[in-house]
Amino acid sequence: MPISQRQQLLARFDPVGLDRYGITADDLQCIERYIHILQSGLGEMVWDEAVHIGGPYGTSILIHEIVEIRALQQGGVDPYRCTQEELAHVLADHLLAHVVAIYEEHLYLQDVLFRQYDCRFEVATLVKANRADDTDLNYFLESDIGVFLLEQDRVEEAQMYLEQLKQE
Amino acid sequence: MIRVRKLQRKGEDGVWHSDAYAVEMPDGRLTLRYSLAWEYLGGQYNRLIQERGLSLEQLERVLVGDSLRWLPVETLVTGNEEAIRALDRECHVPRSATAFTGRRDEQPVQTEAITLEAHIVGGRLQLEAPLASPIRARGDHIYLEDGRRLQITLASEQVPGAQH
Repeated sequence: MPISQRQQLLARFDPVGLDRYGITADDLQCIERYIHILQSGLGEMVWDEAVHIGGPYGTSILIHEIVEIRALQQGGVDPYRCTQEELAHVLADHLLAHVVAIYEEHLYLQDVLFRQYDCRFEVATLVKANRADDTDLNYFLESDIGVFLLEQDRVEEAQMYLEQLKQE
Repeated sequence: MIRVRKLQRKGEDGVWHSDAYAVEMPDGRLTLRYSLAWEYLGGQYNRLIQERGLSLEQLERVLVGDSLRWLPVETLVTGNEEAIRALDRECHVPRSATAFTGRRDEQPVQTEAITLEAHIVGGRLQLEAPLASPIRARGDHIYLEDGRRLQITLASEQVPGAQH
């Protein structure tokens, strides 16, 4: 992808989030490649959704992916050299990379919702609200990454704000 | 005895590999267990399957494509937990952990005790956990990782009838 096209793509996302996580135009290519390895054959990819939605919500998807990629690299894994099956195996063995990515993704969403709507949710509440099943929430709550409180009675409210954010 | 159905995906290298599977729960409901390669799409398909109340034989209705194939339904006669552990390994699904300590069942059993310090300050219990501890405490509460709090109430400073 030419640099001008990558810069145009970058402009679709939230500059605050991009700056905070140091996401560059080159990183976009890395994320696209990474998701392509992971999800080719599924018929849809989270990359397409990130680009389609853009804005702060699309940025949260990018943050998840770049944090996961960097965590794998810190663990000595070069994800771009893996086949799809190898990468699935590596991710299962490096679950913390995925958990940290969930955490950063939702920490960012927590900040965005506070900045834009002046409302604050616990990170675990946002994970629950932002996923269609509890798989990621369970990985997150079961990890040693920290202490998280789930506001069960605020999940629907959080879902409403996240839906609103997707329209931004 | 459980019934399961594996989903295979063809990678960029053209090789088919098992990437997820659906398991029929005792109440007849299906759960899709998937590798982390699916990211949040796995949860979306899991919910879709459950909302539509699909059976194992109907899974092609939600997940179909040139690079996806459902294998025939298998009935496994091994213990449910044992079967799921083997399927998780084959499909690269990370194993869940215990809710309290975060220990995963493939990891060796931790034998070292988790230590908290308890102080009585102004007649109130103050619990303190070392920073590296998997347990988090504040005041007289221990926070569980599922969001609940374990509260320890100081009934008295002496156990009734205790010998000194």
